[in-house]
Amino acid sequence: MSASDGYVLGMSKIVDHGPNSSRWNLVFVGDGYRSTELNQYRADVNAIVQQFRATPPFDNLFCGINVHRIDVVSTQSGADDPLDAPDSPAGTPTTANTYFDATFAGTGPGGVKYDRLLVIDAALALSVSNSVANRNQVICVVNSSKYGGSGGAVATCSTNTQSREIAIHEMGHTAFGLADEYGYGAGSPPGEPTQPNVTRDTNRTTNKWRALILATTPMPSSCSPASECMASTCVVPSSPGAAGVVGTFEGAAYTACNIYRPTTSCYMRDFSPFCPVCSGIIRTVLAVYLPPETVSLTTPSISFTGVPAGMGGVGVTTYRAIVWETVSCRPLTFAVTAGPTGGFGLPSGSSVTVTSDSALPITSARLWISYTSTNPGDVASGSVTVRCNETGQRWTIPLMASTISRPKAAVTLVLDRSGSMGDDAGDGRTKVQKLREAAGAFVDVMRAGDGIGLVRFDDTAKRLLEVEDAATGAGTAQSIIAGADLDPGGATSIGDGVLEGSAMLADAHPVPAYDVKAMVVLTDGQWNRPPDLASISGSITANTYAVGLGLPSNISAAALTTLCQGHNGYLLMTGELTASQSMRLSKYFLQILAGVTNANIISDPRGTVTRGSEQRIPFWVTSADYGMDLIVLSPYPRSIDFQLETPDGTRIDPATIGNVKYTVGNTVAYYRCALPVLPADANGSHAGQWNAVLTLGRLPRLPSGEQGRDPFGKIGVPYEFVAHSYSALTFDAHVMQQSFDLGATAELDATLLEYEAPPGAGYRVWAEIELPDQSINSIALKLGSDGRHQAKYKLPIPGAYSVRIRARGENLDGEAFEREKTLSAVTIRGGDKEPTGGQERSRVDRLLDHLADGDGIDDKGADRLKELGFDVRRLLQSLRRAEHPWSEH
Amino acid sequence: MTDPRATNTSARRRGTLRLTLRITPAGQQLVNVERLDMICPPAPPDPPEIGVNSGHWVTLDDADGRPLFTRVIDSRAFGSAEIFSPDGTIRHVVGQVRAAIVEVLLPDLAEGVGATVIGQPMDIEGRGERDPRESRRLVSFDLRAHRQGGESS
Repeated sequence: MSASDGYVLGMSKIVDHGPNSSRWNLVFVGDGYRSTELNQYRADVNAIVQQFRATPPFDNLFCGINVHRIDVVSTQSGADDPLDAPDSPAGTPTTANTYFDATFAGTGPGGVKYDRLLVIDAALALSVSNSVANRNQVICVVNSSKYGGSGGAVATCSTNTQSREIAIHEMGHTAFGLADEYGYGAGSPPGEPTQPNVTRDTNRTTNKWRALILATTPMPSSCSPASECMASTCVVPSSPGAAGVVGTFEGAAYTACNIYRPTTSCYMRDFSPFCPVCSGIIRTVLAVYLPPETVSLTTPSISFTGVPAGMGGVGVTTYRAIVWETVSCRPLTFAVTAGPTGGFGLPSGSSVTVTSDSALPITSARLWISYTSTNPGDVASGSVTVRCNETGQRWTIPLMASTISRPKAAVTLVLDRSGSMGDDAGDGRTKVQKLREAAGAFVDVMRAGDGIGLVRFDDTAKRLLEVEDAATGAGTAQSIIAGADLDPGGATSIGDGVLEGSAMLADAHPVPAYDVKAMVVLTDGQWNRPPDLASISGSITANTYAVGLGLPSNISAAALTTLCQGHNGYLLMTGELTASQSMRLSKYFLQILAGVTNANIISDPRGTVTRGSEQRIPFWVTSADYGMDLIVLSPYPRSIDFQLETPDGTRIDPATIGNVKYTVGNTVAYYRCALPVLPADANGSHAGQWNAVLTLGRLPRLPSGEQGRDPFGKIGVPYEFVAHSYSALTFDAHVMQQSFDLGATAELDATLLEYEAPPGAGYRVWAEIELPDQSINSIALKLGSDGRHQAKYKLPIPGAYSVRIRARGENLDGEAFEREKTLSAVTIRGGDKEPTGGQERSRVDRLLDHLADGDGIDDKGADRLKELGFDVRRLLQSLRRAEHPWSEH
Repeated sequence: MTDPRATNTSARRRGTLRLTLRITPAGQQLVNVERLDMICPPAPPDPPEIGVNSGHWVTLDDADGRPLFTRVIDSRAFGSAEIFSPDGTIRHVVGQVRAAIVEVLLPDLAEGVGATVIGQPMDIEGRGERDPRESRRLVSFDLRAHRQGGESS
């Protein structure tokens, strides 16, 4: 029962307020914890630290304190409890072999045992604690729920929740030199006690704590009953001092007679809050350890420049914070004393109080200012004056704002129409059919004012539609997408397509100019016509996104990823489009549209609507959201009765009048809303849980060739639901890859901001990763000091990975929210050998190019051969893979 | 008599001596002296005086025996203990001292060459009744040997 009964595992600094040499250092050791109980030990220590920190005056002095925890493993759990003290209860004695030999029924003065006197080998505990050389106080936590503790050079307490008070009381003695303030018995020591919180002196002009005694307080303030002390010289006051008032109250330092305490109660008497005298002593001691208090304004002015005009006549309300960086132990309150003028608001009230967290004295105070946009071109200015109540500092902060038109985006769809686009996509439909659906849905959901352009590529590229406002060009775009211009044929010159798409965007010069220009490249193959992607990357200025239709082994995944990562975009890979994923391509296009137009994705489940069932899809909207698009993708959107349910239960349907518009296209139906949706019910139709409610409507008119199918039968109508929000709560995520070879690492990175600052701690960010074998892994993204959430994921098998990065929790107003973004990662055997340009093409490549060009066989011939069972295009693909080992699957 | 002019400064001063004392019925022993890079906690402004105050304290002394700093120490090391109850009451028990360790933090002053333990002798039962007039220097230690060289000795 000694140090041989365990070992010291290590030390952790669990509260770090600065260098140990400048702070007051509290050290915890534990006894009676086996290695399997160390987590419990850590929790027990944390509980004591939290109680200590919450006990005034330590709450306002905590940033002068460091806390260290030494992990000590004992052979056995608990403590000796021999039950052999005169005051021990009846029971069975127990023993435990522990490192510090903790035991109840410790032997006190005079060799007498006391049942609740919990003692340890203090010399050994001090020796172990020397790993914190400049320690001020050591506390040993003993793993027993029995009440007990003791004082001395090392204070002890058991894990009984009431025992924590013993440790704090004992610190009052050991670390701060305080006397006990309880007293009983008739003894009357003649000397003046040395401690600062007990005295014989009731003279208000000479008393130790005279500075705290009011002139109206009787001295002495109360006397012990005569039954307790016949020898008292206390002169009974006409009316005793009130509880909480500082005076001289007889009974302290273990005697009822002639020794006085400052107040009726105190932690040093009965575990009540420390009296003002003891609090003052503790403050005096700890003051020398406190870091200097500083309050610095980091936002000398607040600018809302360029807030977009709202939707449907509803202004966009944006928040900005006045921010102070503070280093302080005490709570600081920042209160508005004047303003804000100029039409600005105080959405979270006119004051804010901040307290540093339990481990760092540094914190930020944020006082929020709001501005609601009006009409494009409007400007506003004003000011607000704020005072820090504790330091007396005062600041007048200028406020400025302007309203602009909604940022407009031009998007060029660069679409692959090579011969392989006629192949099956995996669900019985051809790839080009998938392309037509996805591009069609993209155009359907675009906003008026945004621009749409179309480029196709095969052996070369061709402009199909110059960039035009979606309000006027959508119809033309839909006709082209559905027409013969995209019929499959020819080879795959992705580079030409990208160059032409980029040039088309450069040629677009509307007034006013587009704020964002982006290109979406869709392809199902390897580039096999120059120019290669690497050689043209430098000439592209637009944001570039790519969608790979099919498996990564068949697509120039590495080159496209590199291209997109260098131009503020990303590559999405569909993989095999099975029946259950038949709308994935359309969904990817809509996600890209959301990114281009600064929308956030708040939900995107999929399902099937069957006869007699009602699909309720919940999603959450916050007061930071000011608009939303609620989209249903389906092969038969007109067959789905699509309604919305507001947080207060009101139903919205296509006939509802408000800040809402319903649109149906060939493969998409959606509500476009400004928030609140119902002006007459603003509170009930904005923040909270919404539901999309889907039921089956009328039978679809099936296309020719599909008349035999019955989507309303057992199969039902599939749908994908996508909710986009326009919000001040923004989420962005990226997947970066430096290597594409097997075993490469994907670096996941996400940022969540609310009014351009992290929205507190009430949320989590994680990624759901679907591997090429359909298995799913989930990993957490950890928050770094730079406010970014990050994780690394090793890609163990070849293929396309769908990486769905999600955030969920509560925003600054405590409202539930969700955000997500789907990205891709790719590995290919030998993926890093994939040529990204510059290499001289081999003779075999050139031969294959000639064959694919139609020099050997044209498209009609290829189609006729395919009907006869000989797929010459696949043959050419296989030959090209054989030529390029990096393309092997 | 302890010099009442001895000051217990609360200035933020780095450099501290930690004296480890072992208290037994036979007396007080200086077990260890450490020189530490830490702020020495301040002590109350009015140091206790021999013949006036009850309790125990340690002074840091200069070469002439004059106190430079005074630290009150927990008298329970000299023969008492507290027994706590879950109902919130605390009982104080006294008796013959057994053995206890006391650590005392003093400022590491260049002129501080000795330390003295002051208080009532331990051979009187019933501490609470002791007369402060019985306070006296119980034992003195020469710190010079301990303070040469390294961080601890």
